[in-house]
Amino acid sequence: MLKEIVLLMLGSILINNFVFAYFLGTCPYLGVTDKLSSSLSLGAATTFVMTLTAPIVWLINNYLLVRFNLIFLQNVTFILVIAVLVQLVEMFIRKTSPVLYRTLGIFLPLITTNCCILFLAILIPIREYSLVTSLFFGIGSGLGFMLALIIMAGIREELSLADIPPSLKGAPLTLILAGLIALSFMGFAGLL
Amino acid sequence: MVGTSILILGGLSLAFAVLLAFAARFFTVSEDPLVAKIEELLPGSNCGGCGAAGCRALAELLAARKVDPGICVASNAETNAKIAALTGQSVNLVEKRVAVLRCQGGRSRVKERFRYTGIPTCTVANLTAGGPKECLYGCLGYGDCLRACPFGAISLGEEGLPVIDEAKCVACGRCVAACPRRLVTLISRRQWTYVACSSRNKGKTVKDACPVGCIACGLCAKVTKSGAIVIEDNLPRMNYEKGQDFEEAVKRCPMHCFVVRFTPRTSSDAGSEPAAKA
Repeated sequence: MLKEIVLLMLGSILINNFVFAYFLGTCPYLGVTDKLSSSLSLGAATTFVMTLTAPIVWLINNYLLVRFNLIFLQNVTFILVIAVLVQLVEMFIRKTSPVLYRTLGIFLPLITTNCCILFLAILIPIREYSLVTSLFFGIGSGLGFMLALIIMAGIREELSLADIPPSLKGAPLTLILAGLIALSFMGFAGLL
Repeated sequence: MVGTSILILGGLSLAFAVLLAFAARFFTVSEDPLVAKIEELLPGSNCGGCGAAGCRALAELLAARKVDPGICVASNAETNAKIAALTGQSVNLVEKRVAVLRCQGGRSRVKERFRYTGIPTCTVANLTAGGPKECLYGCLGYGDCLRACPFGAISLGEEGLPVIDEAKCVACGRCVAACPRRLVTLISRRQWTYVACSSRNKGKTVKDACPVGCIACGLCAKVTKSGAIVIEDNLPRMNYEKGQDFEEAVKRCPMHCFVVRFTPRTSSDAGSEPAAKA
C-alpha cells in the first residue's frame, strides 16, 4: 500500500507530469510564470484544489453516479465540484491576502478551467483508484504542476536579464523553453 | 433516469450552494463602495508618485480621507476635483513637477574608457569597473529610466541619452529611483532652466572627460544678482525661491551647462510655463 502510494506520487510528479508529459495546463504555465513568487502561490492554490477534487470526485462518482447509473453526468458534476472548490479558494485568498488576490488576478478564477484538474478528475474513475490512492494522486499531480510552474518561473526570471535576440523575445523563447524542459523530463519516461 | 439525473445534479448543486453560502459568511470582505469609485477615476498606472503602493492603495487612503484629494500626480486637476467631490474634501493644489536629466554627455561628447559587453542595463554597467564612460557621473545610456517609466515618457535619443517628454511626464519619480547615478531629478514645472551636469569632480577632470560638463568656475553664482545660485560640491545649486534671474548665468556659462526649458516672460516673475506644456 505504502509502496504503491510513494510510486504513484513520484510518478505523477516526475514521470507522468501533467504539464510535461501530457501538455495540459499550459495556459497558466506560460501565463503567470514571469515571477517566481506569484507562480509559487498559483501552484499552491492549484495543488490545494487538486488535492480536494480527487477524493470528492471519487466519492461522488462511486456513491452517486455509478450507483444510479449516471456515468454520462461525469464531466458536468466534476466541473461543478472544481468550480465550487475554486470559489472557496478565491474567497479564502481574498480574505487572507488581498495583495496575492490582485497579483493572481484573472488566473485565480481560471483555475476552474485548468484542464489539469478536469483531466485528474476524469482519470480517477478510468484508472479505478481507491479513495486513498486518488487523494495521493491529486496531491502528486498538484505538486507536479507546481514544480512545472516553479522551474519555468525560475528560468524566466534569470532570462529577463539576459541579452536575447529581439526576434526571440517573449512568447517564442518561452515556447522553446517549454519544449526543452519537456524534452529533459522525457528522461524519466519508463522508469516505473 | 431523467428524474434521478435531475435530482442528483440539482441536489449536488444545492448542497454546494449551501456550502458556499456558509463559506461566504466566514470569508466576507467588507469594502467601502467609495474605494471602487475612486479607483475607477485614478489613472491605474500604479506609478507610486503619490507615495502609496499603487492606485488601489491610494483609493483606500482617499476613501478614508487620510490624504489630500489632489495628491495624484498622474491625473489632471479635473479628475482630482471629481475625487474631491466624492470624498467631500477640498483640493489643496500640489505643485506640478517634471523630471529632468542632469547630463548632456552623449556618445559624441564623452569617450568610453572600455568596451562594455555585459548585461545591457545601467545598474550593471555602473557596477562594472565604475562604468564604461570617461565621466564617472555621466549618463550610461542603457535606459534603466525608460524601462522604469510607467507612462512611456522617456525615449533614448540619438546621442544615447534619454529624452524626457515633458507632456507625458507626471513626475512620479520612478526614473529618479531607477537611475544608478541619480541623474534624473524632479524640478518644479515653473523653473525655466536647470543645470544639466552632475559631476562633482574638479574643473580639470571634468574638462578632460566632457566638453559640456560643469567645471565649477562659479561664474553663474557671480552674475546672478539675487544670489539664487551657490556652488556646492563643485556644482551650482539653484534656489528657485530666492530668485529667477538666471538669464545672465545661462548666457555666460562657458561650458553651456544650462538647459532652457522655456523662455520666462519677465525676469522678476518667471511665473508659469507656457500653457501648452502644463
